[in-house]
Amino acid sequence: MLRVDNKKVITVLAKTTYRANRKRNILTVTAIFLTTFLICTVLSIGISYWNTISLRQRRMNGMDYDIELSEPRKDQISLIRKMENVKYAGLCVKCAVLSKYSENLPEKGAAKYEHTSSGKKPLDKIRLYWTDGICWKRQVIPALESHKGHYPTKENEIMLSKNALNSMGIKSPKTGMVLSLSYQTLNETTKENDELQKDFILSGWFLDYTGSGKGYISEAFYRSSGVKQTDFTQGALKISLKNPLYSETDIIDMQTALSLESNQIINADYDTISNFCKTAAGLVCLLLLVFFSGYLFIYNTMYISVTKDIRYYGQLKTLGATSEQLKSLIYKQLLWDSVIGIPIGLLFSLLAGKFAIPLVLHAVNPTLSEANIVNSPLWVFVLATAFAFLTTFVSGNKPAKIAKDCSPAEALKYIAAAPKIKNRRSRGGNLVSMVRQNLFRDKKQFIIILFSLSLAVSLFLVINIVISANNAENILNQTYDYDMRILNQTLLDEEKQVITNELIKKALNTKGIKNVRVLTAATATVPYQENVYGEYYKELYESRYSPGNYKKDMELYKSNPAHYLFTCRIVGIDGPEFDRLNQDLEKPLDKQEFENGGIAFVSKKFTDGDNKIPGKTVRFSIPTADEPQKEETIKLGAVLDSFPAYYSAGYTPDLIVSQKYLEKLIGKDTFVEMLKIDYDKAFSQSTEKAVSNLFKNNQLLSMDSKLQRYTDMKNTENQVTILGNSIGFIIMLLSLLNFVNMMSASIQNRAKEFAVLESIGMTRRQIREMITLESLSYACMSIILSVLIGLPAGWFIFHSFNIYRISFSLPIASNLILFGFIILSCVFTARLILNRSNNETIIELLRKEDN
Amino acid sequence: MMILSVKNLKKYYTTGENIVKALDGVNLEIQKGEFLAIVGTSGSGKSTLLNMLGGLDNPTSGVVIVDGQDISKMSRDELTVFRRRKIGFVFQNYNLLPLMNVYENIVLPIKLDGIKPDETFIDEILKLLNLESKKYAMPNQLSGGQQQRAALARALAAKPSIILADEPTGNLDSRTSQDVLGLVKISSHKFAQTVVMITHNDEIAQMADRIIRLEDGKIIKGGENHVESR
Repeated sequence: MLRVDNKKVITVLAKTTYRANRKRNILTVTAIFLTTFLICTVLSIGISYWNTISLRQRRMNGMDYDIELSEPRKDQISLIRKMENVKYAGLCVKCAVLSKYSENLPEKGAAKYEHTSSGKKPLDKIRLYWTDGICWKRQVIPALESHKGHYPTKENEIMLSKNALNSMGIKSPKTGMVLSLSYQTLNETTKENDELQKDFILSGWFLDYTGSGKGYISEAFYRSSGVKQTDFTQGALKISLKNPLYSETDIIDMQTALSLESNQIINADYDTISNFCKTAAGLVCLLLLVFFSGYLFIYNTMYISVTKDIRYYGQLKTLGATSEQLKSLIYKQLLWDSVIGIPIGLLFSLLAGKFAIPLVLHAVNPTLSEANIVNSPLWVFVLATAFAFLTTFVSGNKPAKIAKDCSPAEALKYIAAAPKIKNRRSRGGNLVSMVRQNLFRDKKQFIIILFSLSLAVSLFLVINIVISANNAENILNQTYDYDMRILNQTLLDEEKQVITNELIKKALNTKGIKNVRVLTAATATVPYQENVYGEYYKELYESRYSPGNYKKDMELYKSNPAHYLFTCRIVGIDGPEFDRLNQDLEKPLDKQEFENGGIAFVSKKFTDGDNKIPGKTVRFSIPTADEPQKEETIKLGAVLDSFPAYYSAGYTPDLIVSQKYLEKLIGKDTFVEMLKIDYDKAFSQSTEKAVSNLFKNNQLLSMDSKLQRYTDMKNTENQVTILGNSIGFIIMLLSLLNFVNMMSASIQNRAKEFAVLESIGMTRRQIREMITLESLSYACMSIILSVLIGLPAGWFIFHSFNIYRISFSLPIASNLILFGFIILSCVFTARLILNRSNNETIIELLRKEDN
Repeated sequence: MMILSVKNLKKYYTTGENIVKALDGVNLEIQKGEFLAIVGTSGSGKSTLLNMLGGLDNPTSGVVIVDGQDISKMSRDELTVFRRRKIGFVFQNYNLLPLMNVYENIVLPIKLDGIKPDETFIDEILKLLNLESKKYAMPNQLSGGQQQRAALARALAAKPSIILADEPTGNLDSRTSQDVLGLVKISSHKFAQTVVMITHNDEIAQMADRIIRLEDGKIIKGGENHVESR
């Protein structure tokens, strides 16, 4: 056969066809642009979002490591550091606890200063650690938002967290300033009251998101403190692994190699791999959603005009064009569409990532640098390009395939789905029945449009769920059970009723306060009761936290129940606190019975399970009560893992009873340990200020505020919020544009049908109503479908990412906004597009389609 | 009584530098109940004239008065409403809506007007046009003649005072053409309707009360002052 050079003619034909279909090309290019933009932007912002929340998580932990070995010996340390999978192993030893701060000291450099015995501010358990160089550089610094100064090198130098400095009332610290502090070392021989006094020099400070006060001291201080790295619960080797995905076997192998002491443990999360798989599954699910909705963006637009194309290709076939030539003709046009659409998509994505988002972020928080907020790795661009290209060609080939499969004559008369319609004894012909017919005229098209729209909306729903799950406010709301906690700090020394009724009343009357939960407490003596706590004590002494020899200690307990090792705290709580504790229980307690002192919660932390405690009745007495010797009894209802109060006593599980009951037992003013304050509006600045003003002058009280921790996290949080909202906004915009694009394509392709309708008496207004109804039906159906797809997908993805164990909640407002916008866009797009084609007369429209 | 009148009607198209005069000063008057045939060669302006009469196209200048109303002054939607009430259109290619059955196609203009269709009348038309058995058939199940009859039924159903037909028999064989035309004539008599029809076929044109001939956008025979009685 002779080869005919027909490439030229195909190119010319392709060019002519391409030029003639300008409106169609705009829609196709828009779809390609949208898909490229979607993939590229969502991936690059998504990566940055992920990095930022990982960073925030490291900062919330305060240190970056994978597993830890408690009380490590030197030989173990060197062994671990040689292990193949170990990246770094840094040593950290808890040496001392700061208990008081003496104010009014002149700064260093002043000629002379004296200690003042008064003005000592009690501090809230500020722990001091020593870390070696590896730990500090590789594990601590990466988890700090910022640090000023240097790590302590001299014996009297100290580095403190911003939180610790705040609790001392130091708002603008300076390196070199002298801090007169009382502390206790954690040397195992230290007795509770061995308080030491020292003038420390502040060598630096840092900000992390742990929300707790802590500090670092020099190696010299650590050596002189007498604390050893092998002391129980004080020393720990923080280990960062090369491959952070480890199994239980890996840890057991490590344990065997290290020959652990009896109380030594390796703290590891054996769920790492399964958690990773869950997260990966969530990510894959999310990515599939992104890619599939991208695919449908293009497919949808192309499929809508398939009928028209088939007729055109049928015409060419009748003139003698072969299927190969048709294919080449189509591919040429698709190539041109891609060459325009893809680079614009990439460019816009780059502009959004490099300029728009940093600009917004900078406007919201000027302290943040604009550099590199969104990382757009090259592979993202390559992937987006390849995907858009492939999708375009796969979906664009459709009409050619259909035209290829049917005869030219059939192709010329092709009406999508119409031949399948059988005689219907329908007596419709009104607007609603026309809308119904139009929607279902081509079932495949209907499904594609519906899925394309629904997936985009589902994606928005899912992304919003993920964003809200990672929102710091939500995380903090879950981890804090109060907005502000006021703690009486006199308990370690001499108990003083600092939180008076008057103060509580004032707090209650402060504007913006919803609730003030009052926790009263006392220490109780619990005589040895084998039937109640026997099992608990056995398990405790077998555990790592074993206080000593079981037999010897139980003998001590039986003979001296008031020994500090065996006392417990008895905490009185009010109604709201009861409700909070009771709500999560499998078997909630009866409120009335609790109020009357018939039943109590038990709180313990050293053992697992309930140790068969619930249902038993315990005997106890309160030494500080009016009748110290009087023995009381109460039934134990449920075991709590958490402890609602702050200070603890001995190893016996703590009792949580009603305040009324505790008051009755003690017989006088019960000691108020803390207030938990709930605001009408969580994170309210004005309420926080009002509450702070109420308590800030009292040196004996400490405040712990959710808002303060949130404020510490501000920088990362701004970034997380802006990145998250950007993804949400972009997807919202894209799903809206998808709607508009779909409707434009649909209206444009049905121009002749509308002309026929108009010629037989359907007004433009009626046509507009019909299209609006059609698109509204699409909108409503896809909203319903997206809820059906989005909710389970969102729930699944939420649970795969939920490291803070926050409860699932649906971001209703943002979704309602999207739904509203979709409905509005349905109404206005139909109007807009129809008005644009108003200039053409009916006869022009009728003829245009005939040719 | 005059139902349709056209005064100095012009329709010019500009293609590149050329001006095409599709209609060049046409004057025409049509009486109520008259059956008028428009003949002429291809490109003589027949369809353009018919479309102007039905308000499907806008004139460059001139006046079209239908039933006493100047339709060139109406808005697009006013025109559409006017058309569905006063004018029944029959197209050469039928323009039936492929997704609707015959009955739905027929009653659509009536329902669009918010009126309940007169079922007895519809049945009467269907019987007249011999479409009773095809009432619920889809357009693609009908032959060309049946489709054209369905289109005619649609044009008649709203009881319009004027029927405009653009080569209604163009796609039909001569036997079917005669049948359809016969029906047009019968129904127009029966319902006192005015019929304006374009045709290429002289034989069919002979069935009309009056024939006008167009050439180069001008009436050369049978126009305003050339009442040709047959």
